[in-house]
Amino acid sequence: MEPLHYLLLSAALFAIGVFGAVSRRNIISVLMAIELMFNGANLNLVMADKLLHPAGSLGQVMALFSITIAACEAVVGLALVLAIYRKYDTVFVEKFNLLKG
Amino acid sequence: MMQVLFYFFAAIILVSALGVVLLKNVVHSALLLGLCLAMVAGLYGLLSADFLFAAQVLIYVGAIALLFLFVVLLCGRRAEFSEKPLNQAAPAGLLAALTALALLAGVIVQSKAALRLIMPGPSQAGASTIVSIGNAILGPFAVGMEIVGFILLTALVGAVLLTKRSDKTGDVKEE
Amino acid sequence: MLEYSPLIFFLPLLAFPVILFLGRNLPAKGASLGIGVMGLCFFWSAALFFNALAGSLALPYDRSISWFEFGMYDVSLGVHLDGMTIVMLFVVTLVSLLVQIYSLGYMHGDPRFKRYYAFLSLFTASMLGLVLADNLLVLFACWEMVGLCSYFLIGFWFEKPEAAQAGRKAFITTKLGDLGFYAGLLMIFAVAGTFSLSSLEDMARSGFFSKDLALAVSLLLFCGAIGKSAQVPLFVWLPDAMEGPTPVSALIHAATMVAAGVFLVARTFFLFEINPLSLQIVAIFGAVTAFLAALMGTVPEDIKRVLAFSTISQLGYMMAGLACGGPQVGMFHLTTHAAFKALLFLGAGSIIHAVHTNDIWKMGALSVRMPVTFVTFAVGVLALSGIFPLSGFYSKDEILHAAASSGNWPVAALLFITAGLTAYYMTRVLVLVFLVGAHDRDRYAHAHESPPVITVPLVILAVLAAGLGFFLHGEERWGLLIPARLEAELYHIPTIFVAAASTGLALFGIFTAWGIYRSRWIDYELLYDKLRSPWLFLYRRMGFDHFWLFMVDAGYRLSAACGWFDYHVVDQVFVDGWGFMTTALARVGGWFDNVVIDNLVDFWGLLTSRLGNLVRSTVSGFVQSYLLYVILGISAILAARLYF
Repeated sequence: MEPLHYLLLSAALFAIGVFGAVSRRNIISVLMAIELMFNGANLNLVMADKLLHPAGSLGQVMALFSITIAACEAVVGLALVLAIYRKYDTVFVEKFNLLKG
Repeated sequence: MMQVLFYFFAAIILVSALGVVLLKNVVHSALLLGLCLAMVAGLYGLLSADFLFAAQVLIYVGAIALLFLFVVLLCGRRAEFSEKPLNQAAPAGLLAALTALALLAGVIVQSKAALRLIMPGPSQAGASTIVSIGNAILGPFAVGMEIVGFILLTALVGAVLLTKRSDKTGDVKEE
Repeated sequence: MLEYSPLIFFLPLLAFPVILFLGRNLPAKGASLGIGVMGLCFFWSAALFFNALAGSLALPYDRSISWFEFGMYDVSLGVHLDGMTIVMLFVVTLVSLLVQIYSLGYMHGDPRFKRYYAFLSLFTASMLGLVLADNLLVLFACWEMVGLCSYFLIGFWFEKPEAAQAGRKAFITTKLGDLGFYAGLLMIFAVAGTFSLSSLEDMARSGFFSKDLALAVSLLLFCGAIGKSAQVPLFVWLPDAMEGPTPVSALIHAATMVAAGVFLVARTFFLFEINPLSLQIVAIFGAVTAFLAALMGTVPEDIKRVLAFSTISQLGYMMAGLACGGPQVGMFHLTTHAAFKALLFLGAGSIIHAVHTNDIWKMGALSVRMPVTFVTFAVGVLALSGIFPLSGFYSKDEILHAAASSGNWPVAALLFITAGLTAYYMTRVLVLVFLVGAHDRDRYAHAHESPPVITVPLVILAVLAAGLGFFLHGEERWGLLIPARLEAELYHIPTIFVAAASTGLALFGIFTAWGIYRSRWIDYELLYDKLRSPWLFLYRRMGFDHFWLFMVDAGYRLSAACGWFDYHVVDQVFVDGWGFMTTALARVGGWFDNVVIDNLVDFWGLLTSRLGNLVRSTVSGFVQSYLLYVILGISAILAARLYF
């Protein structure tokens, strides 16, 4: 049952990304985990396109948009990481607690 | 053959993804991320999404993963690599991840019957998806494409501004 | 000529501050300005007077501007000129002018000379304002102003405690009467809604005032007149007022201000004549005053006191004359009295100036030393006694005739007796001062005739005192100025009979006094021994002073009792008790507040803060925890979509 496995794989990839995003201390790793979540979602999109819309490629277009947005996200995110690193001299997320209530 | 390749790719993806989130050394994480993304590109290839395959390799593997590596090299310190990689919320994160996985898997398994009905045959091998993607992008999704382009530009400018060296008060100087 | 008559009031009023503040730089320390202004006013008034006598003035003349308005009421500020006003203008300006000239000599060298003239100007202005006023409010204001000036001038030599006290006494006593006047004013305004004299007169003629109302109002106004014109029982201030400078006594406390009460009654006569009872009461007050004051005038040794009692007595005459014969009669006596009483006071001033004492027992034989003063004084005495053809004869005769013909026998009898007494006490003074041998050689030796600045006014006044009555009497002269009001004569009594009776009584009085003090047919020292107790009774002014002192004391005791009640009962029981109750209640309320309300408030605050802390702990500032919440939330939504 190959399509099902694709979908389960994408779900697993997403779940690993979630775990990483929540649990990692290093902010660069958090961003990487988010990339993993993006990839899970993209894989799902492509597979769903194959299943539901075999003739066209709407899902692939969506995935393409998603990749582009992910690129933007990565660029801005990493730029922020650099700025924060210059400010706080650390990459550990728990040190960035300016919003603590 | 396709199935073997799929499981091969899937195994590498899962292992490398776990490596990304679990390894202490961020350099290793970044390298494993590149591997993982490359394997996802392989899956796209298996699904005969050739344009996406190319985009994945170029953008993710070629650009993003490399960018991560650069940033790691810029900000990373060897001392920090030896500290524990996970925070105290890790159990909660695991719980959240498992919940999400369970729910997604639930959805997928629930839709198994419906999926079987429309299970496609092997797709038209050799037919490129570039034409249909191009039509879609410049046709019904033209507006979306423009917006994405604008977002890209914004991100570009933003990244440049953010990474520029600024004085202590934080405001930007023309150079 | 009539249009500018308000200036007669304003010129002296302006002269007051000018003299007070700039007098030092003026010729004769400001006296020149006062006399100049007063001369101008006098000639103006005299022109008005003679024109009125010739009948060439359009009287009455009214001119007013609106003073202030409130609601539907409009109070004006204006002048009302009729015969009565013009007579008063003439009298006041004449006496004021002569007194101011006289004061040049009398007050010479006084340290407060400038202030004296300023006050004289202010007084004259106020008096003229009182006379000119066309409504009762302005009249009342001027009335109080003359009272104030009187206070200043009685206490002019305030270093003397007697003078200061006399000023206070005069002020307070007259205020007692003014209280009634003020109440009357309020009553009039409440009923009629206007102060205007002409409007009120129209109302009175159209029967607006009922008899009872008219009685109440007129008697309240008469209260003011009692105080100002020194009638029984409020006359006690006038004898003491003689502590002031003698010219002031002549101007204020003989000729003009004390006549203001008479003038007030004459002005508001239309109110009095509505109810005969009020006229009756005025007549009785007047006659009793005339008689008692004449009795008291027989004993003092102070020459000014004798004249003061004489003034009171003559004011009583005027009141009685007003009540029995109307304004025509009363005002006639006022006019002639102003002339001869001013003459007598100024003459007395001349004497006092010469011998430096007020005591008639220390004078004597001055006729040799001061011939001009003697002759003029004698004219005054005879005029006051009512000897034909001097002015007092005509005016007094009118009053006696009116009293007799009105059938008011007790009043008429008292007035006739008073006529005799008047002649007696004035002759006593004349004889003791001028005609008997000198009692005090030293003083006699130093006495000398006064300078012309003093004697010239005396001569002028003597001429007037002699001729005024003859000149003015009769319907074609005086009747033109002040028309007769009371027509009804109850009894027709021949004028010649009254004249004969009064002259006879006057001659009898003169004869008696001459007999006792000049010819000494009866030894007066023996007489004093025999009549010691009535003499003392009269000397102590029949106990009126003691009566008022007693009243004041009683008032003091009453207010002390009220104060005690206020402090011990109202304050301590009610106010303090109420306060105690309030504090007790407040303590209970405070306890409730502190324990129940406050704890409730604290409880809610605590609850909110605990809950807030609870919620706050989720906002850790730890970015990944937010991500965790997002994921858990989306999972919850997804689970709900899937399974429920």
